[in-house]
Amino acid sequence: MATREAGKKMIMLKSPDGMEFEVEEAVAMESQTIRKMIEDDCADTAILIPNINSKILSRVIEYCNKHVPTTGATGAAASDTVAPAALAEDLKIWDAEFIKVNRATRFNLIQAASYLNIKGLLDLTSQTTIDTISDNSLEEIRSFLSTKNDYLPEEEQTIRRENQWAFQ
Amino acid sequence: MGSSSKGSEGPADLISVLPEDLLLEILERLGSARAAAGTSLLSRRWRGLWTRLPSLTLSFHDLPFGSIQAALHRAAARGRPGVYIYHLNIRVAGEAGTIGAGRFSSLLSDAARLSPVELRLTLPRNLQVSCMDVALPSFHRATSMDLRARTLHLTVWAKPYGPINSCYVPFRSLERLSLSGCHIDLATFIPFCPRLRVLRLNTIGLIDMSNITVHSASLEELVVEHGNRWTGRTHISVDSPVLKQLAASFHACGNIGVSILAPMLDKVWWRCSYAKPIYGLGLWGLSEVGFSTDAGRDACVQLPSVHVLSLHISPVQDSVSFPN
Repeated sequence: MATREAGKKMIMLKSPDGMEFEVEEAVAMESQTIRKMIEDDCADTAILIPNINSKILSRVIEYCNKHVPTTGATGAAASDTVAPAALAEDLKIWDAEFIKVNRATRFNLIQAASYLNIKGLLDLTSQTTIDTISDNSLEEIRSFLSTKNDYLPEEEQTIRRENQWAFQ
Repeated sequence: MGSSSKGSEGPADLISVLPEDLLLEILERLGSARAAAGTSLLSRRWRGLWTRLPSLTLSFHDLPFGSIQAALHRAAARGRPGVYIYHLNIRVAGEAGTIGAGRFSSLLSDAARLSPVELRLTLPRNLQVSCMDVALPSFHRATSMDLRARTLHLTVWAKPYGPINSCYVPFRSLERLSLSGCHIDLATFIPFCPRLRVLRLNTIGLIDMSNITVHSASLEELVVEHGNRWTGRTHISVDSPVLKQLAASFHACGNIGVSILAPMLDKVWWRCSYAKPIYGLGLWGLSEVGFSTDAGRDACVQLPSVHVLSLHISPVQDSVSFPN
């Protein structure tokens, strides 16, 4: 793995399938969970990230790399040339591209974002699900979530009655 | 969103992939109790999931009173009060008619059982609550309450059923209160709100609210809009040691008695207009008095440091014409 420029502290993240990722501390600290581990001095050598496979972890790191606030020497130079609004617009386009993944990956990313406590990533990954639930018919939501309707017809009637206000 | 293919990869149910607390987090992000409750019909696993939301804004907008009453009753029966953080936002749909004080009372007590931290309740102008008094139940966690109606007669328990009077503080968290179209005895009510900082009163069109008594040790901002064409005399009495801002507008038809004790007051906006010009000066009469302060410039001069004083004087008799 290529060594980064001097002065930046690196952190090793390990996925349960044995892959290791060396990332800048600032990037890793986009995750509040990892930040807490680092601040509590639990991160001497390498941090094992349970339940998140290397494929998903690498995408999460990709996201954090893009979203880490650009400060310091290089960051200042960048903000001289690029206006903040343009930067935000650029990030939005990047996000939209980032989230073009299949359903299974998206749900894995939701889980990872939740476990690692990365608010922006959780917002981004759960938005499609939220939109789907908000705007679609029950059948469409079921098909999106791959949920099977296991109610008996009379049970369904009861629930409709119970929550009548929600279906008006 | 037709991208999600089903079948080929044998997709797992979202609910089996994501733990419940994460699903609740997603439901919470819906920002709509209605959409969240709607998911109950998806499958058994989803049934009632929404009632376990840790923090929930229950918004009932433009629904008939009966539906809101039923929904709130269900939520109050299911929820474990004190565990969840509810924001109640109720706006009853316009429906001409009258609802009994009893039905309205039960809606309020269901709302109170949820112990919301915020309560907004708006009744449409064409829906009247019968003029019996409705007891306002205790909302001990509410920090903000906003009640709007055309005429609503509210009472608070002056003498509580509990043995010790001093422990009874039904609105102990309340910081912001806004009442519009509500008859209520402020002299009794306000002492039950020891943290009240902002009070907004709109008593336009109310017959029995000609006595506005605001005595509060915590109040910092008071906004009063008063309008009453029937009562000859209006009395406003404010005694608030930390009051900083006062905005008051009166449309009265008679005398207004004013007593304000507020040593910290530094921003005042006052407008008082009369239905008929009073205090005649010959052919002229006073129709409006107004003044305002601007603390930004030179505060700490003598009180009140009035910067703008306006008097609107108009002819007593409209029929008299004046040559310029």
